[in-house]
Amino acid sequence: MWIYEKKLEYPVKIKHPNSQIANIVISQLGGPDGELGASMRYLHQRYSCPNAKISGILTDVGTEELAHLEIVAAILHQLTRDLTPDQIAGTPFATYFVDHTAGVYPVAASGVPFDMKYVGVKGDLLTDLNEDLAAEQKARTTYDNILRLVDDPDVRDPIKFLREREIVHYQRFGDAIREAQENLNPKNFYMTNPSFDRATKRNIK
Amino acid sequence: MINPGRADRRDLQSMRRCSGRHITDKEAKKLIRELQLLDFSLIDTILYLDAYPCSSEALEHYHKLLTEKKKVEELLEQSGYPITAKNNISTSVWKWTDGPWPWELEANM
Repeated sequence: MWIYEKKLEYPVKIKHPNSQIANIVISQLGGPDGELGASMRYLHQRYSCPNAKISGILTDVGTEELAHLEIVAAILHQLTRDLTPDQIAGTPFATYFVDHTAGVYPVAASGVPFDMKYVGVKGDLLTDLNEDLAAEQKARTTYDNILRLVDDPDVRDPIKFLREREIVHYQRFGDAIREAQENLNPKNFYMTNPSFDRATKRNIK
Repeated sequence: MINPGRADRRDLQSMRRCSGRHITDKEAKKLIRELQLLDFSLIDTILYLDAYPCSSEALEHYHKLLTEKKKVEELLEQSGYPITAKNNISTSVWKWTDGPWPWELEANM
């Protein structure tokens, strides 16, 4: 279960609303490498994880991703506050606005709504952890791209924090994959599906 | 106005009126910032301990942070700023839903 704490993990204080920046940052809410996908990926991979220590890493990183989802949503909410229809008409934000007003809805920057297709849950520990390592790097690259496009220091500050967390999560998933490989059945030479094998008590030949 | 983006002023006033121990909004925000810093260190230390459970140094750091975090959290709760819905200290007033909420600019100023 989860308990909500009434504070952001990192403060978001955006003085100047700017819907065009919101149009870019929104990809980290509902895009292919965004925080919604990240939290769903790790929190759903937990159930087929045969190693208690790694289940802990998936739970705690997945939970932190929910806090990051809230930070990105706060950035979007503050960037789109106090806008008048005149400030929206003719901007790239207009197409989002017509469907969602100033609500925070998970879509990619391209306008494609969030899709669980972005999330890999293969039910195989090593496959899933390799997916997670790639996912953290893809999210880091997306934050790098946002930093290449956005000048406002109020937006860059929390984006830099989120980018750094991707790097820390990558380190922890690196620890997790080492833990998994060190604890494989030594006969399982090809490192195949340890969770399924344990459940069925069958050895892969 | 499509997205007013700011807490109802009445929320802040009612927050002041109903507080058990009296602290100003400015003081509360300072304490929340302090809590954010402690809690972030705690989150990072927890992830480290997940991967390195035998690190006595990290475990010691974890307990230090936890003690500090609890102190600040308790002070906020007793002043009428519950951090979780299960820590609404007042037996006469429901403070949990008082604004501003964390995503609003006013909560971060």
